[in-house]
Amino acid sequence: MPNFKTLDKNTVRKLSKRKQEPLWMLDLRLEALEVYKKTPLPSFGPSLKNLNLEDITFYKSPETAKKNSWEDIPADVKADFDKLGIPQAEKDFLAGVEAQMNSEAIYGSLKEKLKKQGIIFTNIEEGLQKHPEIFQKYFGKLVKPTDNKFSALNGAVWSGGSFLYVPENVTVTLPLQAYFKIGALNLGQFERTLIIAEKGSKVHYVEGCTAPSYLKNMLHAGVVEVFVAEDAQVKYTTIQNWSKNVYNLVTKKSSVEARGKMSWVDANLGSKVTMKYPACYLRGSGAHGEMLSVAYTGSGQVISAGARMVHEAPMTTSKVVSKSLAGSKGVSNYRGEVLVKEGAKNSRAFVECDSLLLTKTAKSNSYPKLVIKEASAQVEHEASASKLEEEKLQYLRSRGLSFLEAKDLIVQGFIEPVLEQLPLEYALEFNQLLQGDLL
Amino acid sequence: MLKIQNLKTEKENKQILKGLDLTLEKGKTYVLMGPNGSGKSTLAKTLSGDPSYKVSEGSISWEEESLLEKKPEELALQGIFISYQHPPEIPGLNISQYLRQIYNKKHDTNLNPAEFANLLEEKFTALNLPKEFKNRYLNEGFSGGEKKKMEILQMLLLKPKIAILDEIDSGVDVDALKVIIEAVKNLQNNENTTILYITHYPSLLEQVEPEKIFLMKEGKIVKEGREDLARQIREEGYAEF
Repeated sequence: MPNFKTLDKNTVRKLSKRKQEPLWMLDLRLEALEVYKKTPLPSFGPSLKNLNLEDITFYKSPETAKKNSWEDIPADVKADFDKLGIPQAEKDFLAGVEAQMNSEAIYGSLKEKLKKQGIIFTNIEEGLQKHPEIFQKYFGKLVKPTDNKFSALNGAVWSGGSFLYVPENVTVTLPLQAYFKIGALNLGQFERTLIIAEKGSKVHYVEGCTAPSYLKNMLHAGVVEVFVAEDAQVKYTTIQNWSKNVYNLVTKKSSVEARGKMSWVDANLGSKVTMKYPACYLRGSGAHGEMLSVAYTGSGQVISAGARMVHEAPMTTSKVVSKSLAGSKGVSNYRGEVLVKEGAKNSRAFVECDSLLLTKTAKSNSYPKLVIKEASAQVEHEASASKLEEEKLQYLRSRGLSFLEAKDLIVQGFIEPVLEQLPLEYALEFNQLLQGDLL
Repeated sequence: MLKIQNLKTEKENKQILKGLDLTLEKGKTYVLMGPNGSGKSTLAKTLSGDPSYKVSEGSISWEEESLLEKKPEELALQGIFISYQHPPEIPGLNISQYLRQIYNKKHDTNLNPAEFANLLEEKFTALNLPKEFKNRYLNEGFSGGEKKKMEILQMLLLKPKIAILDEIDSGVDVDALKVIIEAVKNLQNNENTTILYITHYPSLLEQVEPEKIFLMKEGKIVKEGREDLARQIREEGYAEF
């Protein structure tokens, strides 16, 4: 089976057939392909003119996927691996030298435990094979090909990703980490994740890892859909450290029913260009949505991140906290939207976007958009852009800390409100990497 | 012994210290007074190695070793402590974590969080600070008095050889000031620390019983003395000098 390089109906048909998908899924893919061809690149945000869509391999079959060789891996990626003390087997996987990480032995018992609770946690292909009825109900209902060019592309050629189903009133105590998931390759370019949390359930899902993820093909266009039922709570944490050639253009949406709670937590390092604006559609009374993000942009990097909070029902609340650090010649942009629809009475929204510029050449911009159609709604927006202040540095140095130690503490303090939301080991690793990146 | 001779310091090309001489003996307490703008805080900042204050002439030495050209952190590690009149707030920086880091660095040790927590509790009690304080962020949302106590707390942990306390008595109520002065005296007894209080208020003099009082005006020490000088300042103000 060859790798597919040309993107046409034939390619999509072959891909779907190879995955032994039901016909309705093939139809969805073909529909998405049509939309993809008609849709122009986004009219806002960072320039994508260097992204050559003709030169992208749209599907690699697992058994023939060409492995990267260690010699091809950039030096900065290797340095980060060493800093994190990652074992060789994992390094191979993360660098794409090995296509899959064999973790069955370590995580087999966890899988057994989840199964007993009725939780389905598997790769997306297997999910579709075994639970087509769930897929028909939810797949593509939130993120549509018409959302943007890259959600259309994903819709046509998605491959890899996770499927998580949590039954009613089940609480998953440990964070579920996609990275350790058995037999699933999560570094797909066009990965697709579907999460369904039934009434009263509770789960924390973690994707990515602090280790650098090296993609030879420079586009990552992932799609995530999360359905939060009444009284359910979902926390979706992303930690990503893409290698510096990657265009990371993802579409993430969630819908939240009455009294449900959706929380996106996002920590982002690396990539060349990142565009991501996770959304919460607050559909039931008292639903809550939040997005807490921290991002670092260094030389030659542009991050455009934000959130979209759509209040559709009364008493809904949302909170956006965006912390961006820009160093070197990095450009960090906040793009966020709060939309309070008619009838969303007594809803409240809070947006805070702060940026800290570490150098004179770094830049940050903020593009907030507030659309309020309900008079009883309360919406607060705070934005700040600050420089690394001499006075603070000098104060900490006068207590015996070096310039770099002082800088690290100020940076750590700045991102603390978001970092405290990450699982501890990730927070520690993130700090460690950040210190490296800022040197 | 700290010896300052003919010190000239400028900030943003404006000369503030204009040939200042000052000698402080080991383990003694001194008070520096003077009208606003006379250069008292500039002296403190210069001694802390703040790069925005440039020494154009003169010398500063501690035990015969020159302190000019040293980085702020080198001065701190050598045992020089300058309290800030207006300490900046560092959002998100946990006090316990921060204090442990500066303690371990200064004393070249590696106390773990539990060991350090015991030590910290002792200091909290001495300064009459509530326990919850240890989970707050450095100076963030602190009252004037709390900020001053946080400065003294850092001093107690760093155990300096010389401490210059810039307006440690302003914005502090009577009880808090008593606690602060008591803590400074204790440190001095244990570590033989040299103390220089910088103040506006003659009332401080009675509480700290200084070896000497220095009067500063227009970037120079214009007079030094004891109770007689204190009385004169109290009764006549600075205009006479």
